Amino acid sequence: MFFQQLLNGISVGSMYSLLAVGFSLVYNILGIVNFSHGAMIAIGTYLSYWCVRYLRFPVPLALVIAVIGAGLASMGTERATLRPLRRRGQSSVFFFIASLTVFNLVAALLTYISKGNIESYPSAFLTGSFTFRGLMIPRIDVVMLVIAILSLMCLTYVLFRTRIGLAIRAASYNLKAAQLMGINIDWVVAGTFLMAGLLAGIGGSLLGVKYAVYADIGNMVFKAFFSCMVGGLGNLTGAIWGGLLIGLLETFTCAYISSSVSPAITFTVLIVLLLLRPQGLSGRVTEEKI
Amino acid sequence: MKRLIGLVLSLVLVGSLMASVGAAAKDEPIVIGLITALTGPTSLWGTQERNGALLRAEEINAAGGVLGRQIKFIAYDHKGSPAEGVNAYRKLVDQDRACVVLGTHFSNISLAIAPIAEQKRVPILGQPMEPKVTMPAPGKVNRYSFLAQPSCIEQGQMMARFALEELNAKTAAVLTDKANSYSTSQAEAFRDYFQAHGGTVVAYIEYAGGTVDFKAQLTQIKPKDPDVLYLPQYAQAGGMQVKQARELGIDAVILGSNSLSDPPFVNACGGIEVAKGVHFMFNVDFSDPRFASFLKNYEKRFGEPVVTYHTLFGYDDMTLAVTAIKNAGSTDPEKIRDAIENLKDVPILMGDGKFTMNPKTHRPVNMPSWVFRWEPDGTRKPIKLMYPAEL
Amino acid sequence: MSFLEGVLINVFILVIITQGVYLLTGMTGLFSLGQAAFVATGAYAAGIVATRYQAPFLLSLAAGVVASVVVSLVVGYPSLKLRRVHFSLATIAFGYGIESILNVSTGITGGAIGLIGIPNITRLWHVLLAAFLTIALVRNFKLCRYGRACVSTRTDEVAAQVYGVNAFVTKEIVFAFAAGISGLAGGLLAFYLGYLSPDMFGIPISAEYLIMVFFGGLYSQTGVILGTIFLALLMEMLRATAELRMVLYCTIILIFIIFRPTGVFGTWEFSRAWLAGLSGRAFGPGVVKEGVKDNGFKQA
Repeated sequence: MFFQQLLNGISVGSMYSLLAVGFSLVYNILGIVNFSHGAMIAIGTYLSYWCVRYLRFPVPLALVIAVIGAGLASMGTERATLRPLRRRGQSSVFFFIASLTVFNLVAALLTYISKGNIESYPSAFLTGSFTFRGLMIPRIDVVMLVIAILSLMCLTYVLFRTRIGLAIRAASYNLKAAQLMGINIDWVVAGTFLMAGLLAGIGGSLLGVKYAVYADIGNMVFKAFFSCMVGGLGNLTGAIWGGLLIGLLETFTCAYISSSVSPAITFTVLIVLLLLRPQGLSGRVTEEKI
Repeated sequence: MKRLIGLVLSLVLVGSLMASVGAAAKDEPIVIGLITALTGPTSLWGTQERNGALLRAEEINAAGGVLGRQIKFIAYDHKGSPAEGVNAYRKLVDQDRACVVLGTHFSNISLAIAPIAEQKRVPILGQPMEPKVTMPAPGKVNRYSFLAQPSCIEQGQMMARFALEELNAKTAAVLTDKANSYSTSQAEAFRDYFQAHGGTVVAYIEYAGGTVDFKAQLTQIKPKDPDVLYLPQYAQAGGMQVKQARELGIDAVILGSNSLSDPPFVNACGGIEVAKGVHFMFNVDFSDPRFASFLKNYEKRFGEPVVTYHTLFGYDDMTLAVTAIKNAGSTDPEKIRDAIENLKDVPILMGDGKFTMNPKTHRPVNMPSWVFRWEPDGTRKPIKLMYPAEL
Repeated sequence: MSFLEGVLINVFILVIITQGVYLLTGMTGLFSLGQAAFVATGAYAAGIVATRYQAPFLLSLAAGVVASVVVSLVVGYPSLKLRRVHFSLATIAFGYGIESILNVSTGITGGAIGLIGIPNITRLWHVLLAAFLTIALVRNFKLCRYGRACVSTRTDEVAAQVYGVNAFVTKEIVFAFAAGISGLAGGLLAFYLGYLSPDMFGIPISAEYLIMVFFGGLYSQTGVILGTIFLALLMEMLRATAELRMVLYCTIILIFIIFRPTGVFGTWEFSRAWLAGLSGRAFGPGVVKEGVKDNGFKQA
């Protein structure tokens, strides 16, 4: 049973990780807590579902459309709400309300469009599981893991092997200096949001298959927020470790302590962890600049 | 300029809030209100309930109305929040002059409205399953609150009895949402009844609200190998639990509450392949010919089939309210209250087709429920009609 | 009690709560996503004292305030030592924690079924009086030494400390003050509704408070008050739009944000000087100073 629980924890945790990487991309590079990420997750879920259900597209094509759609929506959100703030030289804290409102609006819109219904992929897509030495491994989890690893590899490639990746990394060290070096900050910010949106789209589509398609699915963003913070500033692997840690903690508190207070216990442990290690799991120590 | 517009806008808002309807005249329509969830995660249920009530109101209006007057039906959103529900109730009573209010199917909201209804003296009739809505303490009845379906305690007990007698279950596992009164009340009733009548509850697991991954809880249940797994849940959580239980290889017979009776539940399971074999409680027999004609009328009116059983709630609540107005012979809320209390053998769709109110509990007298099973072809097969009185 | 009175009570309870959020977020720059949990603490404390021990109205309200403040001191001590963004995280954790405690301790709080039987005492004048006192207190706090310390910690914590402001103590004071205000609002809510359930105080509700604060103007007390009143009334007015209600509500907010990203009122404050100058000017405040920059955003 211990190993089955371990497996369950990794399954949940890897899902949190996937959602958290996109969240932490924006947080690490721009220093912005972006709750509209949750809206992009929900958009991804619904776009891929609609493509499969109503347009009868094959699943990979639906996934691509959903991912692109979520990416564009993310870029659009940045264009409409964050860029005016940057143009006026305002603090990014004002983006907070915009991101929350976009999050609420998308949930309300999807509820309205779907009439509050719960939906699922036709013909029990990717359900069931296989047995490995007495452990039950759901098929969808394997598919999720493969897609997550592939998308993280793509992300790493873009960040470390392309010009825009170089620009983004430069901007993440020092936005102002990067601008002085001739980097177009508008493009960097838009590109960051685009990539975060693409990752949200992938995560959202997979969530819809793994659980169900419903309008409030974007609430998962709070778990992504936690994973990102626990992982720490510095690099994207932090978010992955953070997600896994939260998944495992949740699962084991449910299994061995109490299921009804598991979120409270999990989060208390995480806060204690942050008190002891303010830079997060794998974050670099940064001194406050004066 | 923008600020000026804003100010004018807010003045208009306040102004229209204060505007109230004048006293009702003889030929004016009779106002019947409904408080339900039209937005938020449970809006599907609310819109279905509203459509059901609207359909019934239109049928009655087409047949000449009640007391020679037409019915004006108004539905307001409560967003799932008790404070919003209380506001909606006050708006219906104060502004729209509703003489009877229908709703809600949320126990928490009805619990908040019940004391307000005692002050406002306008009866509220609905489907909150928590018995405390009508009876806040043993022997004490809220005069103006009424429930029109078996309470959650009766439904939990009926399911336990079904498991013991029809399925010959010896062991049961229960999974319940600690943040949801609908779920906890039924789960406790099931557990207590099951144990008191010779069964063993091998696992009783409470989880925190908002959970979507139940594998940690279900993995604890699996080695106990229960005969039945009882899931008193809303459709979304219930579906996910069934799906994940099957993924983990739990082969126990799954029993559920009345929210597992709809297509959204099957969707949340990921298809009928997963949902088949799940037993659930339901208030009406799907094979009943009266029900079939109701379905046909509904589809004709709204251009889409009935999705959830909440349409029945709306439809039957409207029938009961109108019958009470007719029996009272007046739109005086006090007289309607007395009439609701004394409703007897009213023909409705739910239960065994006859509704009698118990004036001592403000709940129906011995209203039965069906136990159904999801079949592999996506239909619902009636297994047994259960009466609360047999408990 | 009439419908209008009920609506206005709701509105002004929200005004009281957002004054607390304004103290925390607007003045001190701390984002609390668990403020509703303090409202819950105050409401449940007042409700339990009133139903179990038949305490009078004022005493119950006081119990609510005290409970909230005590909880805030306990929670604030570790969480205010965290970085600002981790502090928001801690408040979310606190929100989940309170919700869990309320759901689990069925014997005291009624669990998910909720706490029933609280007398309906709150009237509009109670709430108006409380709102007026809160607004006056917050205004004076803003002008006193601690308030200025708050603004300086928000703008630059290190610089403030160099000038002798104890940032931690300042934040602790503000956190407790805001919790006390939320507790008062919670007590009034308990005696208004007569019923409490844990799901009335979730994280989305806290987020809703923050939206109200930002909407009017994060750095403007006047803006926060008027923004809250406007949004609360708007929500009530949109009841008639049935299914479209939330969509319209969010869209209206988003339109305002796009055109006035720093809030409708920016940093403008209502003052006697403005009132005196009003006769000589067109309607509305003249030049609006844009919000104060902080170093949260690595942007030129």
